[in-house]
Amino acid sequence: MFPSEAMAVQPIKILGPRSADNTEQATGNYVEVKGYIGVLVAIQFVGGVADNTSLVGALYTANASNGLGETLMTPMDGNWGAATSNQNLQKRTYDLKQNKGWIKYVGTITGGPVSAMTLLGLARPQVSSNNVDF
Amino acid sequence: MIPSEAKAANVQSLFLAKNCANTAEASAGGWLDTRGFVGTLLVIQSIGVAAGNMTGSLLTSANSNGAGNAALTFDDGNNFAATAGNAVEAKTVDVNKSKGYVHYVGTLSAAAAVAAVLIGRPKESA
Repeated sequence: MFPSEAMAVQPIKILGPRSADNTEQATGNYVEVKGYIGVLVAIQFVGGVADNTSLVGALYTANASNGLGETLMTPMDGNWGAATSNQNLQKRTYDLKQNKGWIKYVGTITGGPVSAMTLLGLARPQVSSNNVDF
Repeated sequence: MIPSEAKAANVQSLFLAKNCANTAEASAGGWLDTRGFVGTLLVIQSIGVAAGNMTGSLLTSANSNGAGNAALTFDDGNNFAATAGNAVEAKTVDVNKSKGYVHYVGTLSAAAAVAAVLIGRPKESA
């Protein structure tokens, strides 16, 4: 990566590592994601997936932490694939122009359970003295 | 991030999402080939529920089996900070400091859920 970009980005814990028996347990709370520009890189890791189980991720954005005005975010590179086997690692990118200020992860589980799953975001903070609209 | 960098970023597993009982288990990942990357590598460590503190560091080797390995120092000179869990941290390292392969070492004082990934920009074939 460009050194300036690699050093500038900040990690955002959208869904902390956990095991989940169902969709409810694989769904996070809204996390405030303000002050970032450009593109959000979202990385989903899933450690263990039980037999006959799949996990499909999605990000939603809202105007407030309670989900007001919630809408589904659209990845720039296609929807998340179903995680159906152990040690599944996927990346998607999102234009932050979709972001309303809060973002949450929803992991839709069919079957279950899944173990050691997490969703991390990477984004570049806006620099007040050098605003650039990517 | 800049869209071109975000799209080009290639995510690789250094240590993928596992509940670990001790340091041996948190260091049992493989050696990741970094020879195809250029620029700066971004390394992210994610710790979930942890019963104690943990830190993370990297080793580098010219061999895929880790022979002759040495510590790989992040750009800021420090390893991942000790954390009691539920934390995510990112660090950078110049890919030229890698001898070709890197390995993640998680040092645990008690059981923890650990994951670590490496993000780099692939060399262009042209």
